[in-house]
Amino acid sequence: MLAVLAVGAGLDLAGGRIDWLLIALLIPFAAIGCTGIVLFVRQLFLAAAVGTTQIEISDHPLRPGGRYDVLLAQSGAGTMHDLGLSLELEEQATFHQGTDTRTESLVVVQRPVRAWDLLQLDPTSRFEERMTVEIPVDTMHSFVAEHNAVRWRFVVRGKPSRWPAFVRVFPIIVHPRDAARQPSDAEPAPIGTVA
Amino acid sequence: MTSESFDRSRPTLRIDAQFDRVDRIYAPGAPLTARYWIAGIGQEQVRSIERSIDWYTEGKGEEDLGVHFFERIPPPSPADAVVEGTVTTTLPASPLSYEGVIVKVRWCLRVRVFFTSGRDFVSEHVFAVGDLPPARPAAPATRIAPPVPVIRGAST
Repeated sequence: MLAVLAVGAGLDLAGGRIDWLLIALLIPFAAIGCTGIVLFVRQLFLAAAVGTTQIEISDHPLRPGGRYDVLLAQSGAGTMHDLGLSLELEEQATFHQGTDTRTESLVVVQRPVRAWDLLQLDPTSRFEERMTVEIPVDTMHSFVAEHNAVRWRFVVRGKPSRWPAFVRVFPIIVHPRDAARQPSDAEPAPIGTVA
Repeated sequence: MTSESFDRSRPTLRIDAQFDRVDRIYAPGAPLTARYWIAGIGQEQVRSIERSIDWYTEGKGEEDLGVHFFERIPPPSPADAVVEGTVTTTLPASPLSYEGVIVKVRWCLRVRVFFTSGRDFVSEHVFAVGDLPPARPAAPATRIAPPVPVIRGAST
């Protein structure tokens, strides 16, 4: 569309005529197009400059109370002011508000696992760190229904020295604890008494 | 929790339930036995009774519902002043009862009485699967250790 308008305007100018209506249409379209291209290139550049983040876990799905080896790998170049890994549990609720469908999220568990400052990244080899992560015992397992969800995830937050901060989310699945380990040792009540 | 259309001319229908655990807290995979009593049916004719073990969500989102056990039983004898029944099932491993902030998961015994007149009466009796503590909004993340300057290649 922009090219058609531009070619038309160019031919008019070459012929010594100025079609002001065409010019008026061309300017906003050109501005929007150029802005889009600039934003796209900026995002692409940011994504490439920060480098990829990778997480490996020794087992999956996980279980409450379990301890797991986790490898965090961060590639890129330059100085990373802050880099942190946390384990989070997020609730998600989807509801209708008028004719809109909205989803609200809330983090109810946020456990920092490890954090680093002034990390010097080398483009030739990525930064790697191994650590042990324990899933809290008395917490909800992963749960997903049509309108409600409880999701576990690893979250990596970083602040490169020359680029905006980034957040990368790695969803994980936590199964319920083994039934044999669930507490509920109260004696059964005899049927017939008031509960 | 009960629900019905309000009508003063009808006797008050009441459904009570009793579980085989006083605290109504069951382990996942545990057997559950619940007994219920329906009183106050009066002269109305019962078409059928449905009883089920369900989980449902509460909170900010739309309700989700899962049915673990369902049974429809024929109407009782009109002579019965009190109708009673027993539900026995083995609970599944999940979902656990969960008292979240914007998402809650609850389990219940639901008894529903359908009358020939078209109205119905529902009674829900909540119990818990698992004993998770209630969730609270997380505080902003804090560091767990002093910042450690890391030089490339020095990681362990």
